[in-house]
Amino acid sequence: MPHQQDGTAHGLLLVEDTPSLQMLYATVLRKAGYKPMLAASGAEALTKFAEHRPRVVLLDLMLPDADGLMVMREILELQPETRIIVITANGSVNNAIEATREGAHDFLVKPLGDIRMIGAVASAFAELREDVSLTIDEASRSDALDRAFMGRSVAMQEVHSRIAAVAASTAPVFILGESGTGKEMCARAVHLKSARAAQRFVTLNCSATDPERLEIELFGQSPPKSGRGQAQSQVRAGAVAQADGGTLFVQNIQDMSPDLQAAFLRFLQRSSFTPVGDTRQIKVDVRLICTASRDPTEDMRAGRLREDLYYRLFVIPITMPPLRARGTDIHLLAQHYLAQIAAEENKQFCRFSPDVLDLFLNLPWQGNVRELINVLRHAVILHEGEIVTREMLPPGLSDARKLATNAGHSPTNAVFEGLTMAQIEERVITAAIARHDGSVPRAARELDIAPSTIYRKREQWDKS
Amino acid sequence: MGGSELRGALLAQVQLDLNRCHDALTATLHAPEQDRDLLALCKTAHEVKGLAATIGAFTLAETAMRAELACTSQDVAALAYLLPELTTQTAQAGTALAALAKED
Repeated sequence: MPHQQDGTAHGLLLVEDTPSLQMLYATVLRKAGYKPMLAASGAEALTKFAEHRPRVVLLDLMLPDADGLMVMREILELQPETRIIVITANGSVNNAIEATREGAHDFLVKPLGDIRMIGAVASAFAELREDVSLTIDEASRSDALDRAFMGRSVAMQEVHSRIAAVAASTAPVFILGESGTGKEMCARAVHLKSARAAQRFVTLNCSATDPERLEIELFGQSPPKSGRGQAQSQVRAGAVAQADGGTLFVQNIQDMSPDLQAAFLRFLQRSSFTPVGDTRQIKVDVRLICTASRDPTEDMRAGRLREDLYYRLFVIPITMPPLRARGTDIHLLAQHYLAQIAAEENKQFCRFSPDVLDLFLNLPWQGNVRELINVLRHAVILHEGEIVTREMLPPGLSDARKLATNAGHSPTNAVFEGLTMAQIEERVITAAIARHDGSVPRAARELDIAPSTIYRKREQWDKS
Repeated sequence: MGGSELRGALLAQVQLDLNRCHDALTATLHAPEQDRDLLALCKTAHEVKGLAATIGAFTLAETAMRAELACTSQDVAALAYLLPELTTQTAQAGTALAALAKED
């Protein structure tokens, strides 16, 4: 059963204009324990949204009376933290890509698979619960920290000490670490341990934002003045303004354009900024935390990150250790996430068989904690029982172990043995996306293919 | 609502939706070429595409996708043969579903 809060009539809005598809999706959602509100047009969706303020919206992009993207923008204006999952049909994936650039949480391609749809909705609610727990009170704050930094390994103890040391300062912090190691949770921990804990923690991911809109997302925008006698519309607040008094967390800063890097440096030097389309300087008090999935020193040397900006930002580094370097911490994490996922999916799972625990210690975990969560979700959704056994784990895990144990003996061949070319392609692309914190454009750059190629292939995998 | 009742209700609703799309396609097919509303046709083709893919009618989904593309690119020559094909296939899908509902 989903979390209690998600099951209320106000938690989820489903917007689909074709009655049979609406009926089908609603049935699947109800069977999974959700109680979706239903809307069949853009106007109805906006009315119900304004009235009930659902936190997750499943939104068909092609509506009879409105463009789904416009509806999405209006919803995000009204309530920016809403998680929107857009639904599109085969052949219209470019619209979905545009939607994710503009802030959609995820996208689904028709025909929708039950597991994929429920997984997307559960993930949206899970993310919201994490956000909420980080803003309520002291008890919740310490819960969040415990969750983020569960573990007794030496590597994690070092992280704890570093966070305690930097929290009291206002100096910029740069968090390093592989994809999936918990860099964002580390940033939240620094914020929550600081004197700014009661203020906002605002996140901006430079690689997930359309480069042309990034300046607006960062500094906000003042719309052009309307005709004489009309009041000027409200300024759209950017991340910097929203974080005033609190913490601004900037992910993948090296993906800012050179011009924007220059503007960002000016903001750091003066503690003030100018919204796009405005001339006023606005003063703010913001603590900055940055991350990069690549080595920022390399980016600086290669000219992708301005040298003066690098030295402004790279004041206090914290390195999150990879999961494979955390020893038996993985057992604590696995137990914690198993309980959480089982509760979300209304399953009985509560422990692991000994060979699974042994296997977990020996896997390379290239996707780190995120990969562990995916493995557990796979086992819980597709199986029943109390004990997670080896047979319930995704088949690819054994290959990953081969890779770990055959290191130096043609690991590439070992891990791909017995797979088709299409399966190898899917693994290589998925791993590249994970290495880049979910950024398709940067994964595409690494693989030297167009981002649209990845989106189309994802669309095919979703269908198969 | 029980499992079989639900299945029956879903089948009936899909039939209704396909019939509505078929009526819209037929009206467009019989309208003079210069009076055809390509935007409305595009939306109908898009709806048929999603519906067909969901019920596993992949040939129909493919035809609908081609018709939708022809509408967006205003390819009147392609629409000349795609529209009748789409109209016929939509009717056939509706008939097949009606037969399935009777078996239930």
